[in-house]
Amino acid sequence: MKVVLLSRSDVERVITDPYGRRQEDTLLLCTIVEPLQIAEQVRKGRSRMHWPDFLREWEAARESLDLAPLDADCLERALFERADTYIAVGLWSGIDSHILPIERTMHRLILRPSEQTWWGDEIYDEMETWYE
Amino acid sequence: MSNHETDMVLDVGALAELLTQYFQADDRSCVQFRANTFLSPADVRYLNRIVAEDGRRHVVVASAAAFVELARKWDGIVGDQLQPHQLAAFLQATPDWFAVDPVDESLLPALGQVPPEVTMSDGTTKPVEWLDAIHAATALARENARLVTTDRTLLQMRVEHE
Repeated sequence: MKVVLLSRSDVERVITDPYGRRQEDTLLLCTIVEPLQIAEQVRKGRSRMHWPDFLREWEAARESLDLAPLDADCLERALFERADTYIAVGLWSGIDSHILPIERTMHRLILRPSEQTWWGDEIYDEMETWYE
Repeated sequence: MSNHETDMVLDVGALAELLTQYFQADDRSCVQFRANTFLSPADVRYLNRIVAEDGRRHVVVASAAAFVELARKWDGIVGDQLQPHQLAAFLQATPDWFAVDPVDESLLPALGQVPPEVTMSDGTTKPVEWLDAIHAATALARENARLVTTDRTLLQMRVEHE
């Protein structure tokens, strides 16, 4: 099964056309950051959509996406450098900077590959290219 | 909304203070929190009641986003008063009176209730930025919750909603 990481504009396209053609052997991976950022544009009146339309269209689009949240499991998995599976020896250097925009930190934490994630380095590396 | 009938949702400052006091306590099974810059005396009275009841009626909550903020500003917020391994231990074995709320799609409906800007007491308007909106939505997404914050924009928003 092929995994495709969706950027914000990809998610906007899926929201606009939730029943569009999909390859059956493809998983569409989306972090929670993308719908939140789209929602932020709607909340601030910077989108063509109004709030009820956004929620309805998101609900329709949701069925075709694998959504990765930022939750306690994600924090436990990605926030720390560990000496082994259990011992945290420090904060992960990937987040140890207030220079990065927080959405990039969130992307890194959600997508940081590990034994617990079903995606690998290539997905994380693709996300990093969004910021180059 | 009364302080005494709700969950408490902490912003990053209140979360950092709670964690610091928690790990400085001699006995973490019966911590007595103290008031300071980020936790008012009224907040602390209610917080201690939630802890004493072990979260059976209400819980103390922080968004996963607040933990990310804390990690990003670690030196400026907690310095050497808290160690990363303590934060890891807290996340691994969260007390029954505490909940880490996910940043997930359950926030989306509540996010729509957060205004794009608020009018401050001096008549100026301030935008409610993305991260602050997530904290506010975390409180709004719960059936009955109050946001504990020292952020002026969020405080003003709380006033407007009460």
